[in-house]
Amino acid sequence: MATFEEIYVQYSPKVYRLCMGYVNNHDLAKDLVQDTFVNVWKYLPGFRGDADVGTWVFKIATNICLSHLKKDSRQAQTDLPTDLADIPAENTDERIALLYRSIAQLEENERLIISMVLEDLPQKQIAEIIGISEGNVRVRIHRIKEKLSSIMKYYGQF
Amino acid sequence: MDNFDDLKNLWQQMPVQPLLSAAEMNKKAADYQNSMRRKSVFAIGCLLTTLVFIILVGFWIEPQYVTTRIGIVITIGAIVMAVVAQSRLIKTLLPQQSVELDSRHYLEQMVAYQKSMRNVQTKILSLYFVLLSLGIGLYMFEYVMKMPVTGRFLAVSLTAAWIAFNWFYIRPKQIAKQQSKANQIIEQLENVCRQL
Repeated sequence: MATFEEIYVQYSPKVYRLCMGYVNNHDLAKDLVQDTFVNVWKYLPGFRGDADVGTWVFKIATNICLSHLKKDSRQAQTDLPTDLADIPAENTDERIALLYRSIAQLEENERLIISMVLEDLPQKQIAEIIGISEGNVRVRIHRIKEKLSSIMKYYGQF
Repeated sequence: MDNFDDLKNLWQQMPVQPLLSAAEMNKKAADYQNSMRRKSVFAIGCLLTTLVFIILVGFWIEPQYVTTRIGIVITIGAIVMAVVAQSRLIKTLLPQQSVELDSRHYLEQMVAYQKSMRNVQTKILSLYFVLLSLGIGLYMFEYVMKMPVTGRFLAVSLTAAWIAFNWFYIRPKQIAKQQSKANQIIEQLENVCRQL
């Protein structure tokens, strides 16, 4: 079975992107990554080796993100400027920033699902992490993509 | 979305802010666990010290009436109970949610936890005011009995007024504050639950 260090090295960048997709704030995302891996460290001795370690880590990460609910959480997403609408992004950094800003407009569970889709997790794994059926995940992904697409079009992208 | 693969590429290109190294993270997790353990030990230590203090006071002040001793014990007991309620110890008495569950079940557990927490807090607050009033009343009894009639009347009236003010004004206000905070969290959690 993988050691804590191996799991951390392999999954911390993925978990970081997931957390960024959820909170859209670098400092908060780093805190959520740390909380996730404190829990991974704590529960690793009891982790069953036959289960998929990636699914397990993502379950912990999504739950840590969901625990971070607070009033006006969307207003806390301050890493991106608010005056970007209708200005086509030129470079990669701006495009990445716009992608995150668009994801931030989605509902909590939509942000988590789309982050996992962009992270290339199979639908079966996403279904297991969220706790809904694979068919349900498929339908949701389709809707979220449409929603994201229209948000990005509003910003003059894609 | 035809160009969803472009978004995937863009996503993967996002620069990851410098995170802790694996060794640093390992140490941080171990430190966190130890600090939690230290806090629990400290809280239990404080409780035991208070209990010893109550017993010593009971012997030391040598009141003539047993009601005075009972009053002291109840008053300090109420304060201890309030401190425990504010600490992490109370949380260990409630069913805990597991971060290893899937999101839907985790959220359901969180809602259940917040609801029990809300009920427990309300009950503890009412119990705190009852015990505090009773404790002070019993403690005062011996000394009031030794006062002249006017002083006795004044002391009893003022104490009764103070207890009534706490019970009818402070207590409902505190409960409303706690409930509103808990309701807000529960509403947010239920809102996300509904999305699933």
